[in-house]
Amino acid sequence: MTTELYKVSARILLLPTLLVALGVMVKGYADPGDGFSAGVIAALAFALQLMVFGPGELDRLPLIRYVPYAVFLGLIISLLTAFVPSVMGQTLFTHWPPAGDSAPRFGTLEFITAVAFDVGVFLIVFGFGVGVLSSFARAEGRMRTSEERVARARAAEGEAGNTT
Amino acid sequence: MMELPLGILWFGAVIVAMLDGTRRRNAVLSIVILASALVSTLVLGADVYRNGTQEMVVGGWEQGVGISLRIDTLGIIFAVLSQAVLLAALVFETANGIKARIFPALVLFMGLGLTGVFFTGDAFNFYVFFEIAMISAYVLASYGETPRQFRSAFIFIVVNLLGSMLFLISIAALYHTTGRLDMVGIKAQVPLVAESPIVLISATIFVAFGVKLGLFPFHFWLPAVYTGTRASVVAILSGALANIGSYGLIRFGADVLPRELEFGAPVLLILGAVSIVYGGVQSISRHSANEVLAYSSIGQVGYIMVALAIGGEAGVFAAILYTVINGLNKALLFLAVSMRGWLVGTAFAIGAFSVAGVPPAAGFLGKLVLFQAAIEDGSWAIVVLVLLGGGLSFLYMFQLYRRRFWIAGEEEEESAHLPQVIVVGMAVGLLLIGLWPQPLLELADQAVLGIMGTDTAP
Amino acid sequence: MSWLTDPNPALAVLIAAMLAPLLTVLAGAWRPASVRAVAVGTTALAFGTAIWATAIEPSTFSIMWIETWNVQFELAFDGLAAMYALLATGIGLFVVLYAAGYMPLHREHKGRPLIDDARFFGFLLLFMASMVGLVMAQDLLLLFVFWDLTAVASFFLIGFDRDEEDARDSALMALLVTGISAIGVLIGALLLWQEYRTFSLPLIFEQTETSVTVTWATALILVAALAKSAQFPFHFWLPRAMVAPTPVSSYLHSAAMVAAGVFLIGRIYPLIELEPWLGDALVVIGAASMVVGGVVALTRDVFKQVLAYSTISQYGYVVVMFGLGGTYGVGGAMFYVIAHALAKCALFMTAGALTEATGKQTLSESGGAVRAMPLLAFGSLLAAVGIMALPLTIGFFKDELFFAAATEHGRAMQFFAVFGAALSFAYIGRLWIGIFLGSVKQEHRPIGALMTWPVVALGILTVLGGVWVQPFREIAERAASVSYAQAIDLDIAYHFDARPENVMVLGVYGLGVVLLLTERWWRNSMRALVSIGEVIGPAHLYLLTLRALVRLSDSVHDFEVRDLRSRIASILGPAGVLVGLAVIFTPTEGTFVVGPLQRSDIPLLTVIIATAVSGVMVTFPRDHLRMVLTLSCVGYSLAVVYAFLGSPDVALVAVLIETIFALVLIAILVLMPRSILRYESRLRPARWRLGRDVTVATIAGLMAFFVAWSALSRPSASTTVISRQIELTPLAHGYDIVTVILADFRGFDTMGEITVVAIAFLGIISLIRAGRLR
Repeated sequence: MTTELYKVSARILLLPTLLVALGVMVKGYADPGDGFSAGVIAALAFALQLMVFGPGELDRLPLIRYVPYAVFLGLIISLLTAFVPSVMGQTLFTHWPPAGDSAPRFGTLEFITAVAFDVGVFLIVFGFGVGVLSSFARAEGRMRTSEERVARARAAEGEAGNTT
Repeated sequence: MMELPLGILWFGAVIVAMLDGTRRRNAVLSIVILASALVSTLVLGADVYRNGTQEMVVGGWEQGVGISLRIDTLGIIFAVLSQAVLLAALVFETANGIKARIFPALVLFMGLGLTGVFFTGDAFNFYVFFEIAMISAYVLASYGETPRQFRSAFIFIVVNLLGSMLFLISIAALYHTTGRLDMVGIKAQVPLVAESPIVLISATIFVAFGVKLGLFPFHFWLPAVYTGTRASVVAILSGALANIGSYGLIRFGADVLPRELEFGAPVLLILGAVSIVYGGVQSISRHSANEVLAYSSIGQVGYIMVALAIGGEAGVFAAILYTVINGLNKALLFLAVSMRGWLVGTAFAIGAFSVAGVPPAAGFLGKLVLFQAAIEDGSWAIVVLVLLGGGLSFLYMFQLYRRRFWIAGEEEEESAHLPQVIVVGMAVGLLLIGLWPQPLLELADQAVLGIMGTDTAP
Repeated sequence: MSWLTDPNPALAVLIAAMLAPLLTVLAGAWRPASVRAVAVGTTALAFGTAIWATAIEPSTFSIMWIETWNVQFELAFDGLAAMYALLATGIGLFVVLYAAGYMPLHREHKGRPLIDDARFFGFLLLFMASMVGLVMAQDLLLLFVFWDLTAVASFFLIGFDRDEEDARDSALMALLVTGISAIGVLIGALLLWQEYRTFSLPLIFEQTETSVTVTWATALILVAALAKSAQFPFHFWLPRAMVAPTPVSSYLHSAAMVAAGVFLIGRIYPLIELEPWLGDALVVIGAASMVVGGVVALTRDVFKQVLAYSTISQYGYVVVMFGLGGTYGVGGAMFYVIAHALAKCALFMTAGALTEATGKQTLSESGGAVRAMPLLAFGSLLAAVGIMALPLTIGFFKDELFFAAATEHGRAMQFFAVFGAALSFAYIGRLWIGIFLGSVKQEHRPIGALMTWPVVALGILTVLGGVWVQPFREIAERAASVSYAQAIDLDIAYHFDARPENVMVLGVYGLGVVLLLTERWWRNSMRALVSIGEVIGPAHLYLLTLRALVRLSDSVHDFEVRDLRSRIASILGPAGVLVGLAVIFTPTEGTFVVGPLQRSDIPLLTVIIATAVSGVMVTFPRDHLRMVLTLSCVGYSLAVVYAFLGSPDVALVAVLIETIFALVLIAILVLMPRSILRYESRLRPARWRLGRDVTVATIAGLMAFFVAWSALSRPSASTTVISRQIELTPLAHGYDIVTVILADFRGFDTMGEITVVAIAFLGIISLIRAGRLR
């Protein structure tokens, strides 16, 4: 009964948590929070799914297998925001628009390259959290099956020993 | 384009990280990346040599607000050395067949971390790059993935995390007392601050780098790690990663905190002396080749400490030169000792002569400048000490050589060709430096001038 | 192309000498069978170049080498260089010829492949080339390079038969003695540099005046020279070096290694002259070597041993003559080296040829070889009488000069000189008679002509020098005038009168013959004397030192720390002590301030105390899970501290990190086999260990505390960059300073740290999924 309750609440919580993560990230420039925190929050959302449903269930989620790549994708995005200005003749890691200039806005959101950098950070942290926890979970699953197999083999051996 | 080497390594490492490094194609790709980073560093180095130190504040902010990159000759020397050692180790391992998918990526990441450490002009950024290098080393130490390697990797990680933490504490304290993180700023602020806190911080920094270097009594992790890991990894750890320790002491000691270095000179001298004797004596009756070389490393680090303790331009000059040559020696020796064949034996012998300070192998330059610094300083005790250490190194290096290449040399099979070529190439490099030391001396001279000659107040 | 039409002789000699090993090794790589021919040819070329360079005017060559220290690559083919270069290449040619006959036999004995020829001749000729370089080097640094190069070459040559333990040990011994002593040259050179700011010998000689530094420098260089020329008490490596193949021994003793030592004395002679006691020291050391070498040589049974000790004693003469100084001293020393080189080389070759022919190495197993090998007997007889200083040999004049030098220094010196010369008369006579006369005790296999004719040729040269002494005299005179820094005229001729030299020579013959005839009476007592010497002598000391070092090494190793806790303790403990020392030795006034405590601080203080308490609590539980949870407590309490300090950003990150951290740790615990966890949680450390851990932890805690306290006691520096960063935050399109710092001001750091995260991820993936990303 309780497991059912867990499962339902876990499912319900997933989307809001991800939304919170998104908010924390994009609002980071005005309020507390940034890509790092957002990444951890999102990873925790998946961690909850993992704990409740187990790795098998989680694998059924689309794209979850590719989460490890998010780490490198994020790193590349961050690197690009740093090094593209450098290629274009500016100082390394100069953000656009330049300091003091006004930035294109969408509501209260400002589009600046610092946000892109933060997206990179988010992806890395998120990918790290999910990747590590899911591989731990999978490893545990593997271990358990192999332990069971060993136990079964032992039992069979014991029977064989008894008969002779 | 002073960030070009960093850019090449950074992007290169990320891309290689997604590929399977056990495939020859990908390994070759990573070699190309590392080689082009080395080339760009050399080009940059030529520029720095001609036009002087290059500075840049990342993000285009003013000095202090943003992170500054500051590339001087000292940084170039260390970057070239470390990248060259990494390249040699990577080619060596590729030739022997890479056994882990992530090995090439880790080598590139380590190159990135080291290059960043040597290029940055910011104390905290130093720590960040330092961590990049260290974490790559942690993973690399387990390369091979046998229980033996895991055990030594574990020791390596735990002990060095401790060292990193000490360093972090000192950076934080330094920031609090001086209000700056850029080294130039710290250097300018330190004389205005009372002595005591800075001395305490300096002591902590010293311990942190002492751990990285494997200086007595912080060395206890080193023999276990150097004997437990694979040849190419030990070469990287001893020839490239350990440079952080000596660079850090030169940079933070001679450059940023010269007053404190002078104050702590007796400690450096005593610990250096003990290291020399301790490492030398320990090496004599160790049985495994790597163990001998590991204790020898502990001894060699002592010389660098003694040079720094002598201080002044001569002392720092000796420290730089000694570090470079020692790095090359150790990388060569650790690779060579894992192999078989008379060619490799000759290469090892050249490395051994270099450690013992026999010309024309480059090592004698290190001994020479050390003697020179000691004589200039009038410290006969140091002359005797270096003499003693040199005698011990003769004994243990050639006992090892004899055992490894004269006795057991016949039965075992000769190693593959390409790794032999690399090792021989490194040995030839040592000979060339010994026969024509002028370029290295001039660079080291300029590095010393860059640190101590000019007062770079902001 | 002026260098082609008008070549520089000094450079040409060096290049010709350097070509020899190079071409030989290349020949070995190309066609191993051609090595011997190439070696002979290139050596002949080098010898020819040396003769040509000697025939024309002395020349110098100089080019900037190490600009930083103003060191020139400076060569001079002067009289001194000419003499030693002729010896190195000329004797070298004989040795290479002999070796061309010897090596095939030697290889056959030892069952070694043909390619070993390349190794052998390569190192032998490298030896020659470095000798040639050494004698021409005018710069102390350059000289040091060549000096050590000879040690390197000799190490590989002595250890040539590396499958024999004796060869390996002897090679190491020779390397240790000559290599470590060579550091004396380096330190001496640096001391001279300290005084004169140059390593160039001509420049140094120009401005020499006696001073303590110069004397020390000279003494240190002399130590290296004496060790290399196997003088007492460094002599013990030389007899051991006899295990090398015979050509090596004969070269080592006549024209290379040992000669290098006395060469160096000749090279720095102007410095030695400055301080009289250095000369006296040379006399004492040389005399001791004469006696020790002579006495031991009389008792040895193995031929090569007899010869080795004879070399020690003969070079003792040379050193004594340098010490005595004056025209006869210095000139005589040079002449002595030439005469000795010819004869000794031939005698060594004889010993080697005999061993190859009979398989025997000792006097007691040999005899009567004159019948089987008359030609060899003849050649070596000429060489032997040369050393025994019979008239009509070059050796006669060497003793005459020695006696002339001794006569200048009084009666006691004269008696000693006669005694010493009689010793050498006796041991060489004993050797030759023992080998060639008496009853035949063994079979003789035929040996090649290449092993006989060099002996005969050298023997004839020895006699030729006694008849037509002019060329040898001139070479010696020119060499001596370089060392002595003024022209030297050696009056060498047969004088048929009762001058002291002639009387002394007669005394030598008399005493020598008596010694030979009475061997059976003194043999046992002499042997007893020698064995006492072996017990208290330097060779034994060397062994004892090695053994003591090994024992010390073992016992020190027992103290090495081997478990993780101790490793950590060994870092934290000393670190704490160092910081403690810093606290004690710096003025602490105003450093450690206790700030005021306000009422508003109490909530913060409470949380800090809670953090500290949970920090201590982490050390108590033995159960892993509880440990993880307590650890999280520390983290969460810290997050609260951040919140109190008004950094919501940091607090948020801290909470999140702590959460995921706890999850990961628990996941790891799940992965660990239960049995291991159970075993570990039951472990109880020993009491002393617990005590140590607590002590070290306290020290480390105090260290961190003091560092933090000292830093925090300062009012934060006035020009903190943070204020400037706050000012700039709006410019960077931000309102939240922390985010702007992380993404912009110090975004580069963030990029580094996320790279660290990525690498950690790679590591974990590698361990758990063998590096597969998907």
